[in-house]
Order: sequence, then C-alpha cells, then structure tokens
Amino acid sequence: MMTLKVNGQNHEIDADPDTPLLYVLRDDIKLNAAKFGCGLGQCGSCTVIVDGNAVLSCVTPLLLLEGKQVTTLEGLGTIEAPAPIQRAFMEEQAAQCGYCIAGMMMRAQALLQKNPKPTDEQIRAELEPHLCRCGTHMRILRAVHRAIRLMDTADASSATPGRAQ
Amino acid sequence: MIGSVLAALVIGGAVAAFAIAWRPAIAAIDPPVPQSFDAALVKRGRDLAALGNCNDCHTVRGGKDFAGGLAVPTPFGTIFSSNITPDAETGIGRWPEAAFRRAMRSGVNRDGQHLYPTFPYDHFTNVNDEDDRALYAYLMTRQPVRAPARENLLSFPLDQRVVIAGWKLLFLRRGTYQPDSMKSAEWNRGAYLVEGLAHCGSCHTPRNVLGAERASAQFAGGDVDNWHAYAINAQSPAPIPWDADALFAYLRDGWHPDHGVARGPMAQVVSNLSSVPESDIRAIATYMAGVFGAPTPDRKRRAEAVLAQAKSLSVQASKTNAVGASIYAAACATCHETGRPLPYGGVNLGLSTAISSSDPRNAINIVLSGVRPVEGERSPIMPGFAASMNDDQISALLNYLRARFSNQPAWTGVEKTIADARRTQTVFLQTSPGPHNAPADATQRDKP
Amino acid sequence: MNAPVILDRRRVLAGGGALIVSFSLAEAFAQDQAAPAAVPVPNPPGSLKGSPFLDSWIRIDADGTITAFTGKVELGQGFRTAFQQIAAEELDVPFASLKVVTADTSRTANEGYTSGSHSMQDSGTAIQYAAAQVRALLVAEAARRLNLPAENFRTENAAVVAPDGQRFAYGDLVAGDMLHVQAQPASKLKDPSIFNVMGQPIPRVDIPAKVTGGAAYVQDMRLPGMVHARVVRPPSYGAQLTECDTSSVEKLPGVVKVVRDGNFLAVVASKEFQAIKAMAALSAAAGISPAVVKRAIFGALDELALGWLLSGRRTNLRKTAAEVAEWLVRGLLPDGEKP
Repeated sequence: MMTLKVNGQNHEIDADPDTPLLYVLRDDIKLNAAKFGCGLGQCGSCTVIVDGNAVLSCVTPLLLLEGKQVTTLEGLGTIEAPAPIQRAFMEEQAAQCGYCIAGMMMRAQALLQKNPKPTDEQIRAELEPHLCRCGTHMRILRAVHRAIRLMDTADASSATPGRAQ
Repeated sequence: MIGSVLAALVIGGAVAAFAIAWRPAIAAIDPPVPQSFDAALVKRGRDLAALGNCNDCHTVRGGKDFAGGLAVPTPFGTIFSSNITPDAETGIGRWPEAAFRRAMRSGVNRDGQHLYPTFPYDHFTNVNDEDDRALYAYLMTRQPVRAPARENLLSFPLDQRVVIAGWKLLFLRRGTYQPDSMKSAEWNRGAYLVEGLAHCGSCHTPRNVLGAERASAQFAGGDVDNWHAYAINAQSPAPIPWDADALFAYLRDGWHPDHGVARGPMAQVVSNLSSVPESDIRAIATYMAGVFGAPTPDRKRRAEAVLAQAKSLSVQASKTNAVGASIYAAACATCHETGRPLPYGGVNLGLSTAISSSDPRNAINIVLSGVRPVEGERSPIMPGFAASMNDDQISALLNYLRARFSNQPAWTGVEKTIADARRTQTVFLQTSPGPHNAPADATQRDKP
Repeated sequence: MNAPVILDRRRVLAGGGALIVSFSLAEAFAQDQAAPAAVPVPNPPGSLKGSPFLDSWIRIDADGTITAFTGKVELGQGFRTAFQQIAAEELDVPFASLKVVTADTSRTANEGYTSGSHSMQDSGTAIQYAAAQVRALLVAEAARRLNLPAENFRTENAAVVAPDGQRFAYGDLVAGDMLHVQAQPASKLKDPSIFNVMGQPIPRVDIPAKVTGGAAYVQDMRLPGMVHARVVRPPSYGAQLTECDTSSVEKLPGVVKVVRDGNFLAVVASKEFQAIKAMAALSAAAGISPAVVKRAIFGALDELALGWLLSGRRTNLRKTAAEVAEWLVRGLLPDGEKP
C-alpha cells in the first residue's frame, strides 16, 4: 500500500511498487487524461507533471513517487473553469483525434511554469518527445503561444487556476 | 673565461631556443575566389572534413558552421576553437595554402604563432599534401562568418604560446604517414585515416601530465566532455569483442545490436562518418580490427556465455536491491528486455559496454539524457530520466544494472558521479537539439 | 410529396397510415393497386441506400429531445459537430439542443468503414435528406391537424408555426412510428442563403472533454469485472509456437488465465501491469521454432520490393537487401547461433 498524491488529493494505492504511474492513474484512480500510446516512453501521450517536471508516467514506477506531487490534466481545470492552457487549446481547436493532446498540454504546462515566455524554438525543442499521428503540430504550437498570452493576462489578475504543483 | 663560456652558453641557448620557438609569418593573400577551386577537389575536401570531424570542434552548438568559439576544457585551462571560415578578417580567408598546410603539419598559424595542441596536429601531421589541398579547397569555399577569436582562459605561463614549442619538441613527430608495405592497401588507408584525420587517439588514448597522448598506452581509453571514451585496443571492456564488420556497421549507422548506441561526443563522429565513402569506413574498421586484435579464447568463451545468457532473460526480483530491481522492471525492461534487436528494442544490457566498463559515467549520462532519434531514419530512441529520478534512485538503478548485467565488481563513487553528470549534462539538455546521428535523407549516403 | 409513398403492413396496422394516405393517396392508389409491397425507392442519396428509414437517422422524443444518428465514427475529423450542424439546420432546431449518436452497433445504421473521406458524402447526405424529410413530415402533421395547406406553415426553434402563429413543438407532433418511413430520393433542402449554423465555423463539440480529461476513447471504458490482457508476439514472420510451460506464469500474482490457441499465446490478469509482467515471463517460457523458410523469404522479398517502390526507387536496394537478409537469417537460425 502506498499513499500517492494526485491533483492535491491523497490516494491509497494497492499496487506493486514497480507499477508504472500510468496504470495507477488510469485503472486505480480512474483518470482519463494520461494515455497509453506505447508504454515505452517513446510517444509522450502518458505525460504528467511530478513536482513541476514533465514526466513519462508509463516508465515511472510508483516507488519513485513517494512524497511527490503528481498533477494530471484533470488537475489543471474543468470544462466550466478551464486553465489557460486548456482554454488556449479549445480556442485554437488544437486537436484532431485528441489522443496525444493531454500529453502535449502537460509538457507545455511544465515548460510555461518554468519559463513563461519561451521562444518558438524552445517550445518545439521541448515538445520533441511527443508524437502526433494526425499532424496537429501547427495548431498545437499556436495553442501554446496562445497559452503564453492567456497566462500572462491571468497572472495580471488575481488567483490563477490551473497551476500544477 | 668562465664568464665568456657562460655567456656563450646563454647566448647559444637563447639562439637555440629562439630557433626552436620562432616561426616566420607567411604573407597574407587576398581571399581566393571560391569558383577558382575545382569542384571535385572541394567534394573530396568535404569528405575529408567529415573524416576529420572538423565541424564538431569548430562549431558552437547552434552556431554557424566552422565559425569556432567552442570552449574546450583542458586540465590547463579552457581553449576556444578558432574560426576556420574564409572570412578575411576573423577567419582564414587570407591564408595561402602553404599556411594551412603548415598549420596541419606543424601546428603553426599564418602569423607564425604556435597553436595549442588542443588542435590535434599531432595527428593531422600525418595528412598528405593532396589531402591538405582538398581540405583547403573545401574550407575556402565555405560561407565566411565574421566571428573574432575568443581569448583562451589560461594562466601564466601557459598563455605564452612559446611554451608550446617545448611541448612540440617533446611530443610532435612531424611528417606524413608512411605506409607499411607488409599490409594491405585497405589496412594502410585505415591506418592513414585513424592516425591522421580521424584522430581517434585524441579521445581514446590516455594523456600524460603534460597533456600529450601516452604512446605506450595507445587506444587504452580517454575522457572527453564528461564522457568516457572506452579503450579500443585489446583492453576493450565490451562484453562481445569487436570485429571489423561490427565496427563498420557501428560507424556507419551509429549503433550495433551487439554493442549499443554511439552517444555523447561519438554521436557527432558517426554522424559525419555516415556521409563519407563506404570504403573509407571499411578501411578504418580493418585497421582497428588489427588494433583490437583477435580475442583470446577465454574472452571468446565469456562472450558466448554472455550471448547465451542474453537470450534467456526474464524480469527478476532482487533481494538485495529491491528499489533498483523495481525501477528496472518499470522503466527499462519494456524496451531492454524484449529480445528485439536495436534499433527497435533497447540494447540487451548484458551486451552493453557502458555497464561493463569500469567507468560508470556513460551509463549515467545516458540514463539522464536518453537517446534522441535521428530525423528521417529508423534509429534508437530512449527517454531521459533526469526529471523522474533523483540521484539516490539513479544510484540504486545503476548498482542493480552493474550487478545483474556484468561480471565486474561494483562501481564506486556512483553518487558523486551522478551529481557531476547532472550538472554537466543538464547544461547539454537545455541547449538546442544536438547534432544528428546521420544525414536526414538516407539517400544522401554512399553518394559518389 | 412527388413520389409514391410506400405502404407497408406495419404502418397500416399501426393506424399511422392516415398521415401518409392523406397527402399522397391518389398517386399511391393509382400506381399500386395490388397489395402493398415494399418496393425500394430508387437511388436514395448517400447512406440512405443502405438504411432508408428516416428514424434510422433522426429521432424525436415526446419530450422534445432530438437525436441524429450516424454509423460513422468520430476520429477527430470533426463530423460529430458537422452532422449536428446539418441536422440542426435542416430541422430548424437550436444547434446546442441536438444530440448526435455516433457508430453504435445496436443503435445506428451500418455504414461500413469510416474512411476514404466519405463520411460527409455518405452519412452527412443521409442526415441532411432525412432531416429535411422529417421536417416536411412534421409540417405535414401540423397542417393535417389544422386542416390547412402545408405551404403556409414554417418551422423555427424546434416547432412548426401555423399561419395564425400557433406553435406545435416537434415533441408534440410525433406519434408512434411516424418517422418510420422510407426516404424519398429527393428532398426539399433548405436554401443555403438562409443558413444559420451550416457554413459557420462552429467549435468542435468533442474538444472540451478531450482537453479536460473527459471520457472520449474506447480506452476510457471501464466495465465491471474488467480484466487486462497482453499477447506474446512471434519474433519473426512465420514463426511457430512449439511448446510452452505456462504453469509458472499461471501462478504469478493477478494472473487469471493463460490462453493458447495454435500459435496465439496471451495472458489475462486483473491488473494491467500484472499482465505486462506475466507477458514478459511467458515470452521467456515460450519455445518458438524458426520461421518456415519459404513463407519467410517471400514475406521478406515482398517487403523489400514494396519499400523500394514506395521510396520512389531511391533507397539503397543493396543495403536494404543486406539488412533484410540479416534479419531473415536471425529469424531462421536456432537460438544462440550467430549468422
């Protein structure tokens, strides 16, 4: 048994310590955003944020997460109260099938939390581990640029929803 | 009497020293017109520059080709590579061919100043005149870039170039490579390249306290950029002994299923080598096969045992290192234990030189930064784990890998090595994408 | 209505025949004096060919809920949204009030594959025509109730509006199997110049859930008692599974069953990672004989030639052939033997 902190909530997880986080998120906690794309750390669909860093949850065993904070896309916002990154992706219609998008968004969110004004080059380099078979890349880039602007204005006002630990 | 003898000795000594240290300047020329160079010569120069890996040292990552400025840390201080574009003011635009040849042969620039042996003229001295001509033609037809030289960071007296003359006296054997008539043409070509342009020993040979390669320990291993360049002679730590075919494939593709992936500074080397004529790579492999030598019967037996064991792997729990075993099961086994050969599966770690080497640095570097795939080619890929594992966890993993996948004694000082690696490799991780393993278009290979 | 409406036994028995007869009786009886036979309407457009009944495409419940059905799958092309636009436009209902049900073997038409850029053409057309014809039926029903000609009625906001302003909500107009009629080949479609929602760049209705962790994929289905499985794949083309000692794998934590059927080998476990670990153990335990030579060589040559052609004959054929030969030999040799 292990206590796992996800999106600010503690969960008691009954799984072997070598179980990758992805299966715990999806099967034990029943969260949908992190996806199984390859199970090998080669596509990025499983990306979540752990202590502020983007991490491939399909190759991150539970035992590495002792005492750490995990944030998934669900933890950033909802349809009614979306985080800037979620709003940006909706406004740019940045998804075709959408399977890769949660991973893309978490990687982008981690980047923007560390560097609120990345260049286009830096965004591209950061998203390099992520695959999109549909070819939505240009919209994803536009959405990240839009998120930069939205986060800028959000910070200008008071409490910012959608900030991952 | 004594006084005049002493005076004569001092003056004689000074004259001798002067004679050793002083080199004349060669008159500057107007930058040659690029069209004046024969296209075939330029093409040959391009291949030679790839063999010499010139753009690796003479280009800052993300900077303009050959414009120099790369910081090369040495035990003596930091040397910055020079601008070898044909820029008239800050590059070699005003150098006549004779000056270029002298730089390659003797390590002296056009003004007559000695060059620091960070520029490996102790190897380039082997390059013959026709190849120097081709290289000159290639460099003089590159894009000129205005980039003034950066001051080297050296303390007195090392910042006085005259001291290099002493170094050269001790360590520079000037002159082009002489073929061995007892060996094949291919072997000789390989020797000419390896000892000359390819300058493999610059990384793979240990250096003495004065920074020169130890002639008695040729190819016994070296260090560069916080990576370990393995011994590539009979002391190679590779579980499966190298042979000419394996080396050929490795140098060409950047990976080999029985050995692993070219990483760190070697990645740029194989990237360049993938574009040169195949026959040259064959020659290098043939010569190096002679350097490795045939494996001893004992080594062959051990290699067969490793191969047999590698085929019958299964995820095992470890009683003594449960953390390492768990991390391996979740983070590594899905790629490294499938039985699929490179590039689709991870290299079988029982075959990995990184795990068997006495130096854990390379394994740590790879775990931290992963392996970037090559654009447009099927190639190995591995995620980096710098973000998801802390130093203790990486240490547990490394110790588990060492115990399970090698027959060597445990590494020591792993924790400190990890901390150092994180510091140096993190910088690498944050810069723009590094060099590619091979030209993006596979059809560019083997072009005549 | 221009063409004969089909009279079928069910309709007659249900008593809904009045609606149909009232506006086309003369023609129907003139052409079809014999017992009502289900004569297919020639060339209905799009997927109406395969599913001609209007209620395969549009359903209106008594409480006013309107649903459009399609046999195609939303894969990110955006047609869930587009079909919602089409149906909303032709039915004259607010966009947001209309539901769309995509491919469901128990509820929607069988439209075959979702591929070839055909969904708008096949399914969109069917929905457009069906919606237009449903609208016409609803208007006709309202007209019938007021005993007035249908031409002076209009539709707006999910209601039929009479010339005197009386409103009939769609939900109040439908009765029984009113929409269980076959589609006509031609429909009176809405004039594009008065489109409200078709032709507008409407944000996709499925994206908000996809960017907030809503359920959107088959993978998000979690059924009671669900277990997880992994398949052990053959290492090379044409390999045969000879023997397999499954007893040790069956004892691994969480393993429910090891499945073997000829060359097919898989393991089922309660938790996903347990299945993955069991698969690895099973792979190690499986005895696999090398590829049957002829099939393997054929497969390899086939792939080689195809790859070369697809590259525009530009790949280095010799090099690729050498690689394929190497791969072949590795697959053919007994374990441990080097090529």
